[in-house]
Amino acid sequence: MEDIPDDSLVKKAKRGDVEAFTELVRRYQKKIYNTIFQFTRNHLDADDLAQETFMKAFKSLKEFKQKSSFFTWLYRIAVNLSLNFFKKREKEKGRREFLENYSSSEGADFSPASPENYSYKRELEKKVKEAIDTLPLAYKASFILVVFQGMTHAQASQILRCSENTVSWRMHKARKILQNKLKSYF
Amino acid sequence: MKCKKIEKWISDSIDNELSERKREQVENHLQKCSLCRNYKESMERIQSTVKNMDYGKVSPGYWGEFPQKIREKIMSLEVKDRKLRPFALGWKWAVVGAVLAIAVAIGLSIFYPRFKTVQEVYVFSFEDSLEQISQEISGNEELEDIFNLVIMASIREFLDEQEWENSTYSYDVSSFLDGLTEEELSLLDLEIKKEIKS
Repeated sequence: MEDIPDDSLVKKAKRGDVEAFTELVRRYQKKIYNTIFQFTRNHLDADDLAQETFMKAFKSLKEFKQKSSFFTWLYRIAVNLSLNFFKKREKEKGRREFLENYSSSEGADFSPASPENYSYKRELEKKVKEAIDTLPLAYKASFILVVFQGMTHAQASQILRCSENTVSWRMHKARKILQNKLKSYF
Repeated sequence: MKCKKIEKWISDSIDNELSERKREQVENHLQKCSLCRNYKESMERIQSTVKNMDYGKVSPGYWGEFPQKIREKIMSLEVKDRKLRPFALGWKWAVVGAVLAIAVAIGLSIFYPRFKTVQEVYVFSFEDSLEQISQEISGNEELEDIFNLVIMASIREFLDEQEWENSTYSYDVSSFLDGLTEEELSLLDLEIKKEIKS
């Protein structure tokens, strides 16, 4: 199963082969989960959304015309679900409370060099995460795909269904916003 | 060379998306401009910090269990639930465009009547379509917000709940237009132009 190309697995899965689809899940679970996690910043929601992504992909497989790669199509589902997650979250909670929840739910299992460094690093990371959270969603989605996932502008543009120039412009704008908010730190 | 253009190219450069020719131009500019040099260094420090931040890790067994969880969920699905139509906006933009052109005109005149007294009704006539309107109201945050709000409200009204949930439009009205793809912006522009002609 591991040697079979994605396209063949997709065709099998379309015919109802659950094992073929499970192999696709195995291949892309980490990338999908890590992307979603950059949006949610907590593992519980990331797990839920990752499951939802794959379930939605499975249910929609018959509609997938294979004009793009399975990976691109899957990413699109994950990003859309993550953005919708944000919309709902914003409705449910006030912005401030939202940020506080974020900062308190993060893992902290690294070993600091010293208490001073630890404290400074924590503070800096908190500020950076808060600044990223204030980015408009369109900018944030581009930022996550390019910076955290290491995608090229072309790859990100396929997932976000916009031009490379738009991704490039959003990256520039996102960086300007971050620099403005973090100027006392950098 | 203007610093604004260099700042944009610095961003492209950090993403390894800058051509060799532009890279040389950036380097030449940086030798002369300390502001842009500082900007580049600041951008690189932010990039480095973001990439090296700690986000916590999932337990080692998670990746082994996850595909199994999905497999079990699929097995429990009923066959009739396996068909799910994807969200396709496509042709609906034509109708949305017509609705929003009218809605924008009405909305702006209701929400921002005093603008009329300052600049007559030029902005609201859509004489030169979306781009012109965007330029006219650029810098006036209140008017930009109203403009975006009315467009978004008209689309929201048109889409059913499922389509709205599946859409990726920004909840932030001030960045709504930024969130549209070029294709969507062109369609909006086209529909507004049609509205002007009629």
